[in-house]
Amino acid sequence: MSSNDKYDRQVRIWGPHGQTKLQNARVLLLGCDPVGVETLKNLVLPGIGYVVIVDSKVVTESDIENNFFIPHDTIGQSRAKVVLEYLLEMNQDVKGEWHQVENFDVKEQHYDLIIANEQRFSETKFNLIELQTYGLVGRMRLYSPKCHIIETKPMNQKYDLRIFNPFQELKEYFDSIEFEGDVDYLSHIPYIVILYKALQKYHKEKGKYPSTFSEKHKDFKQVILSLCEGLEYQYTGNFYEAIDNIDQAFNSENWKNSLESIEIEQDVNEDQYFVLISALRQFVQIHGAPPLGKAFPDMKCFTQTYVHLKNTLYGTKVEKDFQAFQALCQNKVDDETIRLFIENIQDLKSITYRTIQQELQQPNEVEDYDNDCYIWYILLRSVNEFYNTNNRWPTQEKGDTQQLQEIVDKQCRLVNVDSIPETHVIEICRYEGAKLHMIASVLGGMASQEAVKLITNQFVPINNTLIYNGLKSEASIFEF
Amino acid sequence: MNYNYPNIRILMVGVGGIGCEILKIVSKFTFQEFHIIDMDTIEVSNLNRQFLFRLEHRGQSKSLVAAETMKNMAPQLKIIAHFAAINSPGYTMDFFRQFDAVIMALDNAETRSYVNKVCQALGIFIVDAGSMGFKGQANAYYQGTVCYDCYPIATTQKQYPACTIRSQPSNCTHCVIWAKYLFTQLFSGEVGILEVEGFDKSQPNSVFNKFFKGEEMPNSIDIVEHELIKKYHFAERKETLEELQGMWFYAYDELNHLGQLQYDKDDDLHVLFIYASTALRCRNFKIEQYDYQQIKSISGNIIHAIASTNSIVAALEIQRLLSFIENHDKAKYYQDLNAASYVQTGKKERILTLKAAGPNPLCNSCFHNQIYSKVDFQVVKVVDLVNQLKNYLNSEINIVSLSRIIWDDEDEDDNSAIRDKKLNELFKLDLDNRLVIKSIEEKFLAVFWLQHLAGQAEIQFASTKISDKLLKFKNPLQHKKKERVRTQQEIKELKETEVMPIKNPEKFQTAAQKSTEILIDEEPIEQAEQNKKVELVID
Repeated sequence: MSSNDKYDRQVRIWGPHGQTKLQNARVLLLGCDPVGVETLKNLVLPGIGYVVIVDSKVVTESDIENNFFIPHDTIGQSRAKVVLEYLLEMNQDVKGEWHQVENFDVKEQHYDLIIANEQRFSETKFNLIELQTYGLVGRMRLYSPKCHIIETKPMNQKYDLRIFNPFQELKEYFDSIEFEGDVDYLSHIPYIVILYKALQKYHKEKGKYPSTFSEKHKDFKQVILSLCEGLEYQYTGNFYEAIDNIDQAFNSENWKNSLESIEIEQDVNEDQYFVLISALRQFVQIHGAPPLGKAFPDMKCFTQTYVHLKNTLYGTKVEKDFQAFQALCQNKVDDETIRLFIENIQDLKSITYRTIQQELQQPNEVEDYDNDCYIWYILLRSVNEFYNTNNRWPTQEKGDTQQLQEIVDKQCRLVNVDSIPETHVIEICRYEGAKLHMIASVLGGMASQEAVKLITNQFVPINNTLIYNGLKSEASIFEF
Repeated sequence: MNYNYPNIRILMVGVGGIGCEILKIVSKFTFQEFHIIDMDTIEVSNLNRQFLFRLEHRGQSKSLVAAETMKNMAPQLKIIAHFAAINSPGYTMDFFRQFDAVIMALDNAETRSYVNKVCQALGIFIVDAGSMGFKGQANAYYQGTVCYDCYPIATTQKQYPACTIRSQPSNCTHCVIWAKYLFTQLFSGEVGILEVEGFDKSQPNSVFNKFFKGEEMPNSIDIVEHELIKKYHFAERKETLEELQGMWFYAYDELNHLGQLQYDKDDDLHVLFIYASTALRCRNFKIEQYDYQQIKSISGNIIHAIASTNSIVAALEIQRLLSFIENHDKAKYYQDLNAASYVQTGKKERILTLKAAGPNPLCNSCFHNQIYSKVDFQVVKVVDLVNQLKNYLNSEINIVSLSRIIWDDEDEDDNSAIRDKKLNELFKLDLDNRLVIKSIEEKFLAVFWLQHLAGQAEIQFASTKISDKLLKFKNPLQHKKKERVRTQQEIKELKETEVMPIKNPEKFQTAAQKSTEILIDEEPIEQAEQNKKVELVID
């Protein structure tokens, strides 16, 4: 009688619509080294739709040694074939194909994501995750041609309760509530009413609204407490709930930040997202505030009061705003997306990625970094350049370290860094391009999480590089 | 790079999501022996991350199937699988003693705490990891470092007033909790906050009318014509009242016939009942209901779990383990131990490695005063054991079990009930009995490990050097924010308390000279009860 839904534990994270996107996605893996395979494994298990694996090599002894997903009795077979078979065996829902070729034309088909495994890759048409592991160091680079996220899923849900700027009906309701009555009545006044009344009282006494942190959290708090003077402590739960939610009284401008960070491109009509943004700007111009979202928090009060607030007062306004907003969208966006958009207005996010080509030519300078990860990034650039010149990785031989040091100095000049510690140069020479499954496991895990974000268009993916330092188990994110 | 450790013996507790990832990483390693233990069987909802299992393994032992799968993938890794709970008979301290390190790949706090206690007493190195959705962490514990139990994590369970649940729900969560009470009180025979009288349990109509019909609710529901519905299939639209009743009556009837049941979040029938009851109650109170998945999630306190996070924390765990194994100067190493957390903060750091706080000197899992004894429980009387212990420690004593005084030298009357009982009337024969000893005058704390040994009528003790130094610390929990780093004086004192890894306690026959009183404040460790995390309700 066990649950038949094997995706149960993950649908809770990204929802049924996220799962649908995952199940319809096509992913291309270029290269069968451990880190990329590890990433793909973490996508196959949750049920990615279709995988294409491309690799020109056959299985050798060293693959058996460092790659769990290559069984020991497959020496001489195509790596792409072996890995695909192993991965598909893990999840019957997933389909795929393999190609043993040197040059694969990615432009012929559509991919929702390309995983470039242990190689730099400059394609700009698709979502891309580049991965590299080198000894105890790992690097992940994300690129997306278009990254506008509605469902950013912040850690703390923000509510738009219009306490500071109530709409007409709400203001009338707030003003109709008197703080006189028996204990049962007083202890069930909803905290939003308490916050509103406290704001009015504060304004009456001081001639202005609280603005600084100290005014909000000290003076304003005192005003709230003054409203329940004489009430025994055990009946003041709703007043303390108001104190816990003081910030709700001042968050009416949150949406401005997220709206201003978004640039509208020229041909608005092509993209639903820009239709929504442009409709939002019009809406704000007309109404002075964005459309009201449905999210309404739990609060201490009588059930009838709660239902009245949520369904009648806020609910009616939500519906009214929705209709007005829907009209501004001119039938270019479906209702479900509009509702999703309205619920997330406070947290919209857009990312413009630098391309790989831009990064290779000139990475952004990083001024304050508090760990070694930046140094490892410069060193990874350096060993890659060494490889491009010599077609092999640097060893601990003296000639190699000298040559690498020259490259390192050049890379340092490129990003305006004076020098990097010799110990790190020696350490990276010790690796000689070794690929460890332990590092692949960490980096592959993180890569697949970013992959899910790019594919489902939920959460905020990193922008744009993550460096993992296995020597100290630490990781940092840079925009290069 | 070669990972050959022919002298190292490892125990991995738990073969679930993290366990599978651990086995993947060590698949190219060599150990003397690699034991894995898990009491669970494979369920379909495991398959999205526990990749050593396939659909056809459903219902089979996780540890046995994992060992079988790994035989092909890693023939050199000598896996020995145990299909049992780690705290069940046969897995006592003597079992643990053979291992150099323990890997915890667990999903619950109780078992972690148990393994931690045993390993702290034996001086076995532990690595631990946990994951929840995109977040996770890995930690290492060893004698002398902070241990798993040092700083208990505050419970995040939200509390709800009973009257809200019973008669004034204002959101859907309240209704889910109500439905859960309905389930456990009707089908599990548990005591709860609902009134379960005044109806005929064998008559579904009578039960329905009792709980969903009534003047006191804003919207009383009458029974309507309905067809029984065996499975929830309304993801696309809201179901009608007829359909809700169809689900409720089907689920009620089935569950009522099954008899005594524990709520299982993975059992569709159980969830169907919770869902229908919740939805009906929401209509009773005109509350907007959540969808099926959310209701299921709330009812089961289900933790999100995905392969990617497990893969990260498992690798962090093994990195900790390797640096322990390869570091020969272990005494120095464990002082430098730190904890790594993988977090999705949206800020720059993705993996944070935090310097571990010092051990909590009042933590009774890892302080280093330890006393051991093996006697025949069927022969030795409580009074004899206590008297000998008093001699050994040279002190009058109190004994407290579960906050209840069962032995008190200052009040002889209290002792009469148990003084002439044999030990087997208080303690189980086949388990380690871990008793925490604490002096009333707060002079020192000690752990007393009591084991049964047939034929051992003579009472003997072994112990570390009992010291009172630890209690001179202030409780760091109260000072955590101010001083996370201990003072030089405290460190000096801690060093003086003599930390010794004890694998053969018989060797340490050091008598203590301090005046002591003994409190026993923990029950013998039995198989941790399946912890049903029902929301706490204050009446």
